[in-house]
Amino acid sequence: MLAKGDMQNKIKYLGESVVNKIAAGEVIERPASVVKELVENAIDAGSTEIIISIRGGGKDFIQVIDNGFGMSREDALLAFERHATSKIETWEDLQKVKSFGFRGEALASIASVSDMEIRTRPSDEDISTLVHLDAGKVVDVTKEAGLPGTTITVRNLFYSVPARRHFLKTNNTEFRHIASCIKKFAMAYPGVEFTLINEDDKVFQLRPSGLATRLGEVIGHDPMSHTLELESEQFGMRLHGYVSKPSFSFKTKGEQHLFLNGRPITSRTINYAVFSAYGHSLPSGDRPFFVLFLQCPTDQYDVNVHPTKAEVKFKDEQLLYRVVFHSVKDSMNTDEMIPSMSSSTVESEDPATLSMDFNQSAPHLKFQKSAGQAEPSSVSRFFDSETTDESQAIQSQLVHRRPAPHANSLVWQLHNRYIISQIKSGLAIIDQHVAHERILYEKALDAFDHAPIFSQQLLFPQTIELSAEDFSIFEEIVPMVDRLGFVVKKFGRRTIVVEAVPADVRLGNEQKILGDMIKEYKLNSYTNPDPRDNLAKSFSCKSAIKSGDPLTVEEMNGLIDQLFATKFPYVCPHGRPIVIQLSLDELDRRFMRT
Amino acid sequence: MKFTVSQAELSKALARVINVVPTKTTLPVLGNILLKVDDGALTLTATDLDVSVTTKIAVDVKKGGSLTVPSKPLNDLVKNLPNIPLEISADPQFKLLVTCDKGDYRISGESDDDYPALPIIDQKASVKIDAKMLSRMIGKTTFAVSTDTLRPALTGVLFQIVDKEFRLVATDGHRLAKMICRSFESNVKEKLNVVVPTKALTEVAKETRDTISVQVGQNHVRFDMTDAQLYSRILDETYPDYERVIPSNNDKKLTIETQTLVDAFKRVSIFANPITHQVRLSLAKKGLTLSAEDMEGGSTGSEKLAAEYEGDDLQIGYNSQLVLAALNHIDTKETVIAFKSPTSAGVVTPAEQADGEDHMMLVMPVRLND
Repeated sequence: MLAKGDMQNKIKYLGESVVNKIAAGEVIERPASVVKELVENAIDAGSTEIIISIRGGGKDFIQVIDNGFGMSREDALLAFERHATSKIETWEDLQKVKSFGFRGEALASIASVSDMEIRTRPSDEDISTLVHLDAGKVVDVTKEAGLPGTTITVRNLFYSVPARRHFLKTNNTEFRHIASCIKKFAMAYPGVEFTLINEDDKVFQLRPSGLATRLGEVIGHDPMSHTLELESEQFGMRLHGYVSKPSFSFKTKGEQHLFLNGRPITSRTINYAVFSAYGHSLPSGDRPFFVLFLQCPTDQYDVNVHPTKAEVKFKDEQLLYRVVFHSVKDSMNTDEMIPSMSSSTVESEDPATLSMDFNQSAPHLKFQKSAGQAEPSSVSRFFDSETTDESQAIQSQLVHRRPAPHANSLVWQLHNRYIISQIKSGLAIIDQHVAHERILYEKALDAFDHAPIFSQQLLFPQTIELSAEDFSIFEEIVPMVDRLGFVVKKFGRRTIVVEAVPADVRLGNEQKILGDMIKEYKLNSYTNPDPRDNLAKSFSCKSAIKSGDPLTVEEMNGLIDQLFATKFPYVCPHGRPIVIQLSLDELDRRFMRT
Repeated sequence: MKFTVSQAELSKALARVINVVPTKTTLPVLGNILLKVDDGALTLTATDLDVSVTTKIAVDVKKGGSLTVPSKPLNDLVKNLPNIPLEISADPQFKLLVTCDKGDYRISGESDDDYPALPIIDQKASVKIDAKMLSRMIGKTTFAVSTDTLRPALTGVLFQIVDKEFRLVATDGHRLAKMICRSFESNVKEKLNVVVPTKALTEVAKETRDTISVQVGQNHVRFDMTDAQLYSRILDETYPDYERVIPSNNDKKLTIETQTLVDAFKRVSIFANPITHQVRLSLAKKGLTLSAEDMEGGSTGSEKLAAEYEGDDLQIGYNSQLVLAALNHIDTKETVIAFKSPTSAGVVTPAEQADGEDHMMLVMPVRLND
C-alpha cells in the first residue's frame, strides 16, 4: 500500500462506518464485551433491576432490559453517534469520571457490527421510542407503548465483520465469559437485581441484598465462609471486602475480584500486595481468593488507559501497595483464621446459589464454618477460662504476643499425632508436628536476627559423614546453623562433629536432624531463593516433634502456649493448617440433636 | 484341669504377672494369661513378646491341664473376692469355671496352642545379686534412659561386668547415670555387656526379697526371682562408649545440701523458659547463685545459696529438669557437683558413697549466650 511511487492521493478519510468498525474491534472483543457495555450503561442509568438474555453464546442474541432513567427520542438517536455521551461534558469531567461509560463509544461501536434495536422510555414520558439500526445505520424510528427503562437488543453480532466472528469461541465459552462478566457486576452492585437468561432458561436471579449475601450467592457460601472480612481506611483510600483464610486457597487465581469505586478492574499491584500479605502462610503455588472494593478519590487514578477500562493506572502505586498489603495482613492476625470442620452434607442448598460453572476450582480443604457458630474469641476457648472477661483478656494478650498462661486445659493426644483440647465452643484439634514447626520456624528466624538459640551440649558428640556436595552446602550455611544452636566442628573434609544441639529440640534424634536439614535445604534451594527462610523451614521441619511422638500433658500445654505466642498460629510455614475446630453446634447437628 | 487355691494366693500370683499383659496389642492372645496345672502347682504366664513373666504357686491339683483366659475378668474377679478357697476347673470348650461360696463364674478361654512359648536361655553368663541392691541400682539408672527409638541402645539399661564391678548405666545423650555394685557373684571371667529394655527392669525392681539370679543368653535374659521368673529380650545394639565421656579432671567442686539445692531449683526454674528450662549457676567462693529468666515472658527468678565451693568462679547453664532428675536420686544429705568448664559435663555424686557401691550421674550443660 505504501509502495514507492505509489504515494500520491492514496491517503483518504475513512468512512464513518469503517471507523466505527475499527473502534468496535477495540471496545467490543466478544459478546461479553457487549454485555459489559450494556450493563454498565444500565447501572449508570440508575437501574435497580437488570435482565440479561442470551442466545447462541451472545453471537445470535443479546438483550439487556433495565428499569433505569431511559432516554428521550432525541437522546436515543444521538446515543448512536460516536463520542456522544450523557456522562461527561468537559475535559474536567473526565478527570473525575465516576460513571462506567464516558467516551461515548460503546453504543456506536456495538451498533456498527450488529443488528441493534433500542427501546427506551424515560419515566416522565408515557411512550417508548424504538430505534432500529443495521450495521450502525438507523433504519427505523417508531414510537410504541412500553415500560419505563431501556431495552437494548443486539442480534447477529459481528455479522458485518465476518473475520471477527470467526475468532469467537464456542457458544458455551462465550456464555461463560458473559456469565463471569455479570458476576462481577453482581458483586459490585448487591443492591441491583440481576437476572440471567440463557436460551430462554433462567440461569439465576439475584435479588437485591447485602454484600455478604450477594457474594455468597455468586461465589458460593462455602468459600465465603472461609474468608476474613477486612475494612480499613488510610490515605484517603477505603478498602473493604473479603480475603480467604490461608487454609482455603485455590490452585489457580480465578477467584480474585477487585473493584475500584464499583468498577471491576485488574491491578497487578493490588494482586501482588494481597499475595505478599499472606507471606508464607499460603501453600506454594496457591493463590488466595479475594473480593476487594477500593474506594479512592477519582483524581488518584486514570481509567482511560485501556479501551475496556479493565486496567487502571494509579498515581501512587507504592502507596496503594502499602495500603492493601497492611490491610490484608492485619486482617490475618485474628482467631478467625482457625478453620472449622464440618461435612459438606450439612451445607444448606441455597436455591439462590448459582448453579452454573464459573470455572471455580475445587478448594483444598473442605472446612466450613458452621452457620450458628459463635464467632468471637475462639483462641481464648483454648484456655477454658471461667469467665468471658477473662477469656477476652487472654485473647488480647495473645494478640499482643504474650505467652498465654498455663491453664488447666483439658488436653488429650490422639494417636500420638493430634492434640485435642476442649474449648468453650466445642473442641480444637491441633496437629502437633506443624504446631511445633511454626514455633521453631519463627524462633529460627528470630535467632538469625536477634538472640541465638541456646545449645544443649551432647554427651556423645555425633559424627556425620557428608557427601562432597552436602559438605559444601554445610560450609555455606554454617554461620546460620551456629545461630540455630548447633555447635558443629569440621573434622576432615567430609565429616562434621555435632557437639551441641538447640536446647528446644527433643532429646534423642539430634544427630539425624542436621543431616536431614542439609538435605532439605539443598532440595529447596532451587525453589526458595532466600537461604534464611529455606534454612528456617528445613530446621523447623526436621527438628519439630513428629507425628507419632508421645507427648505429656505439660508438653502439650507448653506447645499450645508457645503456638499462640507466634505471629501466625494457624498455618505452618508450608501453609498447612495447624488448628481445626469442631463446634458443639456441629456435633449436635451430626448427632441430629437439632 | 481342676484345682483348688486360696483367693489370697491366686491374687498374689496374678498381681505378679498382670503388669506384663499388654493393654493394646495386635495379637489378641497376648491379652490372655496362660494357666498351667501339673505336679501340684499352678503356673501363670503373661507375655508381650518382649517381656514374659511366669510364676508358680502350690495348689491342690485334682486334674492337670492348661488353657489361656482373658486376664482382666479373671484378675478383677479374684481381686474382688474375699479370701476364701476357690475351686477352678476348665471344660473341654476352654471355659474356665471359678466356683466358691460367693457364686459360680465362667470365663471363656482358649487353648494354649497359640500362646507364645517362653524363650529358651542358652545360658552363658550369670550374675547373682541381692534383690534389694538390684532394685536400687535399677531405680538409680532407668530414669536416665532415652525414649527415642532412633537410638534403640539408649532406650535400655546397660548391664556390665568389668573390673570386678557390676554396673548399670543409662543415658539419653544429655545426661548419664551409673551405679556400681561390688558385692555380687558371677561366672563371668572378663567382661559382660548387655542392654536390657527398661520395661523388664521396672518389673524386676519390684522384687526386693532374697537374691536375684540373672541368666544371660544370646538373645534373652532371665531374672530368677524368689517366686517368679522374668524373661526379656536383649537389645541387640552397641552401647556407646560411655566411659570416654566421664570426665576425670573436674576440678571445680560444689558441695551443697541436697534438699536446699532441690528446693531452690524448683523455685527458680518456674521463671525459666518453659521449653529449655534453662537455669544459670553462678559459682564463686562465697556460694552459689541460681537464676533464670524467660525472655519471652519477661519474668525472672534468682536465689543465693550458701554452699562450699572450691575452684575458679564459673558461670554454667543447665536444663533444670535434668538437674532435678539427677538430684532426686541422691540419697545423702549433701550433694557434690564437680565442674570443669561451661561446656563440659558436670558430675553429680552423693557426698558419701554407700558401702560396696558407687553412684554417679553426668549432666551436660546448656551453652549460655554471653
